[in-house]
Amino acid sequence: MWRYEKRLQYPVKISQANPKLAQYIISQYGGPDGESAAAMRYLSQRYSMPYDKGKAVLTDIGTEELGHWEIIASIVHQLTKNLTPREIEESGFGPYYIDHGVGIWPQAAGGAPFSASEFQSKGDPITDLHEDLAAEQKARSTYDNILRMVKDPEVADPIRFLRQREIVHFQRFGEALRDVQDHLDSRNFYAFNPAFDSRS
Amino acid sequence: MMNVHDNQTGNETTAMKPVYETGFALDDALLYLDTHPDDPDAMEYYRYVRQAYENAVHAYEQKYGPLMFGRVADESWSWIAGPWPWEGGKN
Amino acid sequence: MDCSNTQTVSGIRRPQIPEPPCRNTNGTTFGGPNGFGTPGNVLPLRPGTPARPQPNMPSLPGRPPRQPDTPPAPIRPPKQPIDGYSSSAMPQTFARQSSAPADMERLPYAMGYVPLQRWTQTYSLDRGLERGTIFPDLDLPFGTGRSRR
Repeated sequence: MWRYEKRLQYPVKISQANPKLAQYIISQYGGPDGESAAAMRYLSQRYSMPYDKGKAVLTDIGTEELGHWEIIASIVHQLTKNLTPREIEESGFGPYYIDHGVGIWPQAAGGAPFSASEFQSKGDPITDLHEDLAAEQKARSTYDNILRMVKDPEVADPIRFLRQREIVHFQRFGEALRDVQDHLDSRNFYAFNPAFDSRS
Repeated sequence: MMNVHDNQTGNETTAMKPVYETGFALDDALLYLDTHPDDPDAMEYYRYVRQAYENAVHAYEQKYGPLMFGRVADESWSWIAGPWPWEGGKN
Repeated sequence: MDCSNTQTVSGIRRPQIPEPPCRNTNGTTFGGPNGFGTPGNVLPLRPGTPARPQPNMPSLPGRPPRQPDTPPAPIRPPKQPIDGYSSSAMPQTFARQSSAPADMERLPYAMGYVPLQRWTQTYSLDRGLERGTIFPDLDLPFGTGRSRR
């Protein structure tokens, strides 16, 4: 189960509002390669993972991603404080504001709402871990894109932190994949799906 | 970014700093241990940062209130007291 | 024990990017008898694959060479956290050999492989939080490189 620790994993303290930036960064809140997609992916995949290391990695990284989802929301929240209608209009934040005010709603930068269509939970540990390796790279690339657009160090710092976490997560999913391989016959890793074809 | 020279909340920010640092070290050690469960160096590191984290949390909570709802030590329900973590305040 | 690093300068600053690890390029193969992985995580080579003469493969671009499977040097006890990180203080285990690609070619086809990380000296607590990882090996920042051509 989950309990809540009343702090962020990394502090967010932004003194300068910037709704245009908020609109970019919200992609990591509700977009295809964002933190909620990651959390949903890993926490959903863990049920069909046959091996302990894999279960632990999916559970613990999925949990950490929920904490990152919170950091992204905190960034967007602080970037949209005390806005005037003029600032909203001129920044391009207007369409989001009409539907959500300065509330936080999971969507991609372009406006597409969060959807499970953005990820897969295939019920096959080799497949799922490759999905996860790709997800971490996609998230990293998204953070690279964001970093190119950010000048404010109060924003860049937590973004850089989150980006680095994706690289570490990639390494762990890779190690979990090695563990799955160790449980299978290397003459043919694909002879069967250990999540389905083995009796347990 | 944490600014320990913030005069209004300097002491509380200072008290939170080791909570962030040891808490994070614990998070990173956790993931390493998940894939290296028999690594003795990692286990030694884990024990070290876990103790450091518990000390840091205890020191913070004594002065500034609970970080988890199971550790409310005040007369009334201080758990709901702001600011909350996303607000960019002292915590 | 007060774990906060009192020698650290407080306030906003850019952390130093550590020096790349010492490169040990004498070309010996790494890993266990099957050429890959640590005990308990050994990948067999493809069945029927004869041992090929190992060419002197260059290391992958930008990838530090890998250390052979020697016992790790004693690691400084965590009770004395390292303040910052300097290449001169690196334990021997941090150096990595460059022969990885040759052994990689003998892994089973049609599968992805990520090398298993080995424990090395970690960053100090404050540096770890700043960098987003306690592991110097995984600290791979953005914005520091350009295409070779």
